[in-house]
Amino acid sequence: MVDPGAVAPLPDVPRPGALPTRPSPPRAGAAAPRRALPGVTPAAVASAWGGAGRVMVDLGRLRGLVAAVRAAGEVLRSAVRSLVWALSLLGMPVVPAARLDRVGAALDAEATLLAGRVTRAEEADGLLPARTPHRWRAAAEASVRSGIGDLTARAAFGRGPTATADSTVAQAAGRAAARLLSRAADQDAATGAARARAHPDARSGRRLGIPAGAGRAAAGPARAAAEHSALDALSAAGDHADFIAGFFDELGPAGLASLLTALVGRPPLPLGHRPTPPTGLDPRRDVPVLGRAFAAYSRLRSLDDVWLGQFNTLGRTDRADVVLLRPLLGAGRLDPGLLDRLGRLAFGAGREPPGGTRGRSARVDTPPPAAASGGLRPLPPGPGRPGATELVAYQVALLDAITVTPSLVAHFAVRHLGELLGVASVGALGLPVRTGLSEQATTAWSRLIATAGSQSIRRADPAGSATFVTGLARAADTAGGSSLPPRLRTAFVPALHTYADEIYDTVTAVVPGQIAPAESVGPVGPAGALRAVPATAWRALLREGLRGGAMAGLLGRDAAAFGTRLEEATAERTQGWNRTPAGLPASPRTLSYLRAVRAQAFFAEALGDAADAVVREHAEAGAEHRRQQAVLLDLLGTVATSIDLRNPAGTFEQLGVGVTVVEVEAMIRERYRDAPSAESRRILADLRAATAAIPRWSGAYEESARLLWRRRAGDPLRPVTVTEADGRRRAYTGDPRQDGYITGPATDFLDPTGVPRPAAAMTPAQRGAYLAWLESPAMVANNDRLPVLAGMAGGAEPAPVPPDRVLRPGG
Amino acid sequence: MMISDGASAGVASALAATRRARHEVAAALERVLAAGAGAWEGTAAELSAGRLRRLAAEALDVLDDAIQVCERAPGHPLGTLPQAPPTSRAIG
Repeated sequence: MVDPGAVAPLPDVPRPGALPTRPSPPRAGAAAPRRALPGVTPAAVASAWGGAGRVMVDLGRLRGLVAAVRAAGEVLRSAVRSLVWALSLLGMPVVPAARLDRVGAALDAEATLLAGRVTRAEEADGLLPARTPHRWRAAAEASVRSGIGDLTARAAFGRGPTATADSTVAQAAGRAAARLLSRAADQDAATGAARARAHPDARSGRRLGIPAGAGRAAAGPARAAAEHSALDALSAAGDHADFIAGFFDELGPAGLASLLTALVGRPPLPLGHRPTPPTGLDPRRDVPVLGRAFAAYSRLRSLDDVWLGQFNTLGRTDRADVVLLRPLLGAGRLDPGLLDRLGRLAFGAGREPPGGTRGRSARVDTPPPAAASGGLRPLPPGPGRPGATELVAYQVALLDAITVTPSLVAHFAVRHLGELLGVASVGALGLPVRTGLSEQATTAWSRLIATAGSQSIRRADPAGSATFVTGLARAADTAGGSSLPPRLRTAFVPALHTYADEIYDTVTAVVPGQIAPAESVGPVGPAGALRAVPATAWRALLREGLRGGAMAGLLGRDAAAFGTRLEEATAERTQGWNRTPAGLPASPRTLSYLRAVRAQAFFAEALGDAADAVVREHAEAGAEHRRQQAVLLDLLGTVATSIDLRNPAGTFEQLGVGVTVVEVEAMIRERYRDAPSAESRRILADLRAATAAIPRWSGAYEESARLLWRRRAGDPLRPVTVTEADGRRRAYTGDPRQDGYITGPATDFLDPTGVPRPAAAMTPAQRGAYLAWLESPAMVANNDRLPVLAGMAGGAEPAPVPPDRVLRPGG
Repeated sequence: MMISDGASAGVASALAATRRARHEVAAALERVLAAGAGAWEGTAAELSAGRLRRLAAEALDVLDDAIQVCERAPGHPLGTLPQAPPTSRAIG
């Protein structure tokens, strides 16, 4: 007689006879002496097992344990039957029986895992001549109860002792776990049919005291328990690739769709409102398990359109009920290819940017849109199918999943930018983004756009990131001054910040257009393509970013920081220039001063644009909009007062970084003042007047440099000797060949008569050399017009109003 | 309200079946724990042992609860008495 309380109900109470939690020393004279694998140390055994710690195993006892666990599982099944009978007799719910069945299934899973250990130990035990005749018998037997015995045995015996044997067992175990699910569904259907045959009237044969539906509920636990045991096995298998592959291969897209339908509690078929069948699934427990495993599976197998086409519960091959995937999207990192496919299904093919990254971001390899559609369509909303709310929730989850996939996010974002900005500004237009943009969708898109422009994505996917930012600038330019949500506008700021140096380098360049290093061959890379974006597009993007209001200070600091860095770098490479005998008309650093000022002026222009747009946007709107206008103008005015056009470093010191969108929204809500601040307007107008002082400065400089070069016979250029950043002395003569700017035909920007060709007609490599020559110390220092240009820049008095610190964070 | 003899007999047999099931399960789980002793060692072994102990505890919990449910069912002598204290379970 066994003490009914012999088993400790609490997990960690050590008792004699319980499984040891610490290894005990081997006992002399034990019936089956423990042996490490012959001829090898325990460490080697551990590595053979793939485990981190030392593993000692007694094969005989371990087999005994497997048998005992399997037997216990059997006993539990029988107990479940007794319990169902007893509880039904009393008219009680059979929930405890289902719980017990789940424990039994978990024991089965444990037995399978232990059997796997046995076979692996035997596999590693290569030196032993005495071995069981069929070393896969244990694994095969272990899985008999789950109905996989035949399969495992066939697979294992058929292949013989190979290195893939372990993987075969794991795959078979995974397949078995999946088959539990389909078998449970079949059983459920069969039970229902049998009952219908036996009792045509649903109420006939009902025992007194047994609630209606108890019979159905009694059939439910079998299914529930099977579902539980399958997911328990999946959970226990962890990230075992072979198990996961076997599980989802066997389950198939339709099976997964059924499982997810049960998980979210949706009726399986679009036939009115039939009650959802009872399920043993608990979303809180099972979704993370299933999600992680499915994410791993999506990386193991290519889940193509054929697979997606079968992902529904209707038995069709051309409908993807993708909304069912929503719970899984956040649980693990899905394969970028699958996410890309889902993105195309949900939001349409989008537009490839001109000179897009297809083939460059090589990791996302998708068929062209025509093949991608291939008749495959997502299920539209309908009875028994996802509603509009569910669809939006799915889209948000999908966007979030794409946001955390660095190799995809930039590529995906740039494809949909045009549509996104269009839909966001004019609402639903029957565009592929079907429901227009709800608030959640706007927020999700904003997160995606902000992430695509971030530094981390630039590091992870340089080509995609550069294509994204150029696409963003062009899209902002095309969208014009349309009314985008402030949140979306603020999402542009990370891209502006990440690429601040490149943007200001482009807009302050003496000569516009793509440039390339002399040694590069072939087309210009995406990073070089940044320079092909016209300054007006950058200005539009900056304007939209500023109209978000929140991060205007940060953007101002970027402009000022570019200027200070440029001046510092130029000073570094022209040290000691003024030791040159005979006076030079200008400092070789003058051009960098001019460009630094120009960067700030460019920012100030965009700031003025943004303020104008804010004023124009809500000119005829109600008080609410006027309040918003007043707050945004105040924010922009605050930034404007900090700009000292002649001194980027001073600007940098004075500017606050910014406030959050939430703070801006709070300000808009709290402000009662509904007229725009006249003071802010005046400051912005002053700033605009100050920046207007140097029209066409770059053209003027280029023209004067060309003149200098043309007159070199009569007015020879004076050489400039400087100490460069690395400490070497270097003399610049002003001759592009002698100074090393023209290295061969690829970089030769002079025509046969020795005059520079028009910049627009140059190749990128020639333009690069030309630009470097124009900015070289000799060309700058010998330019006698430059001091006049520099004097004009920032010549106007800055706004004498002290910075309004009230609006700053902590102000 | 009178409770019929039939109902009382039903409760009795349900209780007996449940108790028998608990007894058999406890014995089977005891055999598992005995077989596990010294079969293998290491982190994986400890984790596996922990899982088995938790499963054993849960199975017996379920069956104990089921026994209590039977004992409180109308028709059982205890069912008419004030709430009986939960049967004490040996924790070892």
